[in-house]
Amino acid sequence: MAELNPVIHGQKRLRIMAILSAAEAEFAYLQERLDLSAPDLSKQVRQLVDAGYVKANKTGRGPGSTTWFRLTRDGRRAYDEYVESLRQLIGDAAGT
Amino acid sequence: MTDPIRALDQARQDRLATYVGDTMAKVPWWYHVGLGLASGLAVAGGGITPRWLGVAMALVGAAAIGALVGWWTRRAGAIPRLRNMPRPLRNVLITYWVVFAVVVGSMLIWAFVSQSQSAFVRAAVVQLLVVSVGGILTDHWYARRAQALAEREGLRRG
Repeated sequence: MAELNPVIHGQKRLRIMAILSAAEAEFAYLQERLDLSAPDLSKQVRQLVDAGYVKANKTGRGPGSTTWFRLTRDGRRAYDEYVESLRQLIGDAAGT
Repeated sequence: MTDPIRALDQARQDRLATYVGDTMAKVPWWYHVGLGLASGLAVAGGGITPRWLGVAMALVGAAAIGALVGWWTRRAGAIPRLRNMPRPLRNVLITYWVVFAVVVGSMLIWAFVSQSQSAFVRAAVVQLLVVSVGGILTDHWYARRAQALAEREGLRRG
């Protein structure tokens, strides 16, 4: 049975990782795509940043400042492994 | 997360939507014209005398390019990565860049070798056409392929 990474194992964080695997993205973009409140998105992203999977880069100052996020090398590897684990799970379930 | 099939499908959709969504498909036409004018101005500066005026033109052109790209990047909110881009879409961008590099590159080399003012002006006009018309056509091509890809992959919109 494939093990699932507990940091990514949450629908919101998996979706964030999926989007960031395709693009470097700004906070408001993620918020709109995922339909999350700012505190909720911050909380989810913080876990990914703390795990070293996502790097945050704040640009500008004051009200006009924005934060961009991108996957780190570890994050990309963790995401690929997570997706592979999901595929194995589905394959295992289909085989039983 | 209880259903791995649904989770995997959602991740696939999210990833694909980043490439076929609004991020790249709705670049305004004047953005490309602006980039063409700015880059053409920068190229034309290469043949202008006095030299300081040519350098000033090149700097203004470069600053305008930076401002336009910065504006669009902030507006789009995402910078798609080429590495994981679906092949039909990646091919569109690669084709544009190859055409751009070959046409503009050869015109620039010719202009620098000839060192005449008219050569830089001609190179600037070619630059303007390739960047503006080429950019607009590439966007339409990308949008068509993105739509076809979304339909083929059953991408849920909204």
